[in-house]
Parts: sequence; structure tokens; C-alpha cells
Amino acid sequence: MKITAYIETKVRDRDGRLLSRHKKISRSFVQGYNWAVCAQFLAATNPSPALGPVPATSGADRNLRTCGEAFRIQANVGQTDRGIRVGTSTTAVAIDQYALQAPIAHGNGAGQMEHLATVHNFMGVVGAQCSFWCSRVFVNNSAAQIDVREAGIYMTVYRIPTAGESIMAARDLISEDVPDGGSVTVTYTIRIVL
Amino acid sequence: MKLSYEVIVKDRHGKVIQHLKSKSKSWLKQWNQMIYGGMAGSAQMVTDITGTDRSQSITYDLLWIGETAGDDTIGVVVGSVATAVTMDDYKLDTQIAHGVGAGQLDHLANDVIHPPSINGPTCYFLLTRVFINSSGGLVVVREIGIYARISSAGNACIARDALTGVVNVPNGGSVTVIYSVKAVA
Repeated sequence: MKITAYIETKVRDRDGRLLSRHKKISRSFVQGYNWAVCAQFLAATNPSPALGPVPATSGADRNLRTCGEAFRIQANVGQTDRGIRVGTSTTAVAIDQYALQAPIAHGNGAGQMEHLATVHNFMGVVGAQCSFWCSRVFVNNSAAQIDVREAGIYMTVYRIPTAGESIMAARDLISEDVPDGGSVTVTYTIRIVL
Repeated sequence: MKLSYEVIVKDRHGKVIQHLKSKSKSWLKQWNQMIYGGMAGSAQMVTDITGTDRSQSITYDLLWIGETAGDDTIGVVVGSVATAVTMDDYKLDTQIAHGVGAGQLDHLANDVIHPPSINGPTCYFLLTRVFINSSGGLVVVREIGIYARISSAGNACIARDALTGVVNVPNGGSVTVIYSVKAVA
């Protein structure tokens, strides 16, 4: 069995009409995800040797500990410290990246998009596969087209002594032009295949 | 996420007498359930190693693999039967118990070798455990796996591999299992 991630993007216009749809294998897990897994395997409040330093999405180096919201990416409307995020950079993915290279902020201003809440679904075992997905819609009310070129997953981890921190678990390059009044939906599917 | 493993057998003098290395194809349903539950903040019912469904933790102890020597209910585990892996496996087929009796292996502590390291496009860390054979006879290992914490109520099998070769652990010798957990960009 192997774990495969897929990323799917759908762009709709202001009337909800589907303008484009793309799906591809994501090759996007970056170091942050592995640090989060390691923290949970250890389940230590103060690991020795230190579990760090690793850069958070802010760029600040942190030492991690076990997390009270393990692997959490569930995000509410407007929440940008975790959940699926999108950006405008075309910089190639690298294992040591710690944030989207040009993240799009939440809002209605120029270059901004409204971040809706994440949606999650565990599909379970179907045939030789076991899958789940998480999805988020970004609405463009900025009054101009926004060219979305990257997507990623921001996850909550805890740093020493006990504080929530944001770490990037995945990043992918995408290419979607979102018209004013339109939206882009980004869906990550994580699948184990027999 | 990728997983690979090494199995190293030593004789009573510490000499390496067998060394297997392979990609693991072993992630199981329970792994995806618990990662999903954590991501979504929605506890899933996960089958533990006794076959009982447990509501998972979504906080501090989720996926803990334990450190205690002698505990064969958590961490890296070994077994003696190489039945094919299926998605719904919830334990090793025939686990080798901790001990010094016939057919048993002395389980040393699990060790998570951290922090993660970066090598090219890969970020990895190691999960390892040593098993000593003081049984008085040969012990044969044909399967390996990882048990991790669902919650304080139970542990789940998150990975299992049926070995392609037979691992013979002589009396007085040891077998070391090393899993490498990788993120690859």
C-alpha cells in the first residue's frame, strides 16, 4: 500500500458556472508534515533532544512538542492560520519550504479572497482504497481577476512550552484564473491504495 | 508520505548475519482514520489491536508509539506469519510476544530518532526497536508493524509489512527493525 495525495481545483464564475477543473497527483508533502508526525509519535511535552528548530509559517524557528490539536487543519470562515491556503507564486516546491511563497490574504480588497470554512469527509474503504478529503472555497470579491498559482495546507502544531503554532504541511503549484465574483475550490484527497 | 524499513539480525557476538531493506507498502486504514480525525477535529471510531472499536484521541496522545521496554502492545512489533497485507488488518497475523520463553523475544524500548533530517527532496526520521532472543531456540520473524495510540483506551495497528524473506534470529542474537518515515517533495 502507498499513500497518494491528489489536488483538485474548480473555478466557477459569479453565476456558479464551472469554468475549469483540474486534478493531479500532489507531490506536495513538505517537511512540516513530517515534523508534526514525529511530534505525535514522541508524545512528549519537552522532547529530548529538542524537536526543532523548524520554521513556522511566520518564518520563526520553533521547538515542537506534542499537540493538543494534533494535525488540525479544520478552519473557520476567514481563518488563515490553518486550513487550505492559496497564493500567487510560481516558485517550485521544495522540501524545506515553510509557507506559501505569496499567500493570498482573506478579504475583499485588491488581491484578496474570502476564505470559507474547510469541509472534511472520510470516505472509508472502497475496494482497495481508503480515502478522505478536505476542501475549501475561496471567493473573489476583489473587483478584479486573481491568478492563483499555488495551494497548500497549514496545520496546527504546538511549540514549547505550550502554544499553538502554524506549520505548512503541503504545497502544490496550480494554475487557475479566478474572475471577479467567481470562486476557486481546492480539494486535497489523501488515499491509501492496496 | 513514504515508509521504508530495514531489518538487521545479529548473532550473540554482535555480528550482522542478515540485513533486509525494502520500501514498506504497509500503511493501513487506521492510519488514515486517525490522521483524518486529527485534521478535521472529528474523532473517528478506530479498531484497536484486540478488534474493539475505540473513539480516537484528537489531542496530545494521538499516535504515541511508546517508549517502555517490555511492552508488546505499542510501537514496533514483530510476528511470525507472512499472510498478505489487507486494508482492514488491525493487528499482526501472529504476533511474537515479549519474553524469554519459547518463541518469544525480549522487546527493548522503542526509539524515535529525531529531529527529522533533510536529504535532497526528502525529510525523514527513524523509528526503531531491538528484539533480543533469549528463548533458548531459534525465533523466526516473517512480519513487522507499528502499533500506535488511539487513545488511553487502546492502540491501533497503523502499518504492517509481510517480509519477503524469512528472518532467522538465533538464540542469543537480536533483530533490529528500523522504519524510516519520509515526506518527499
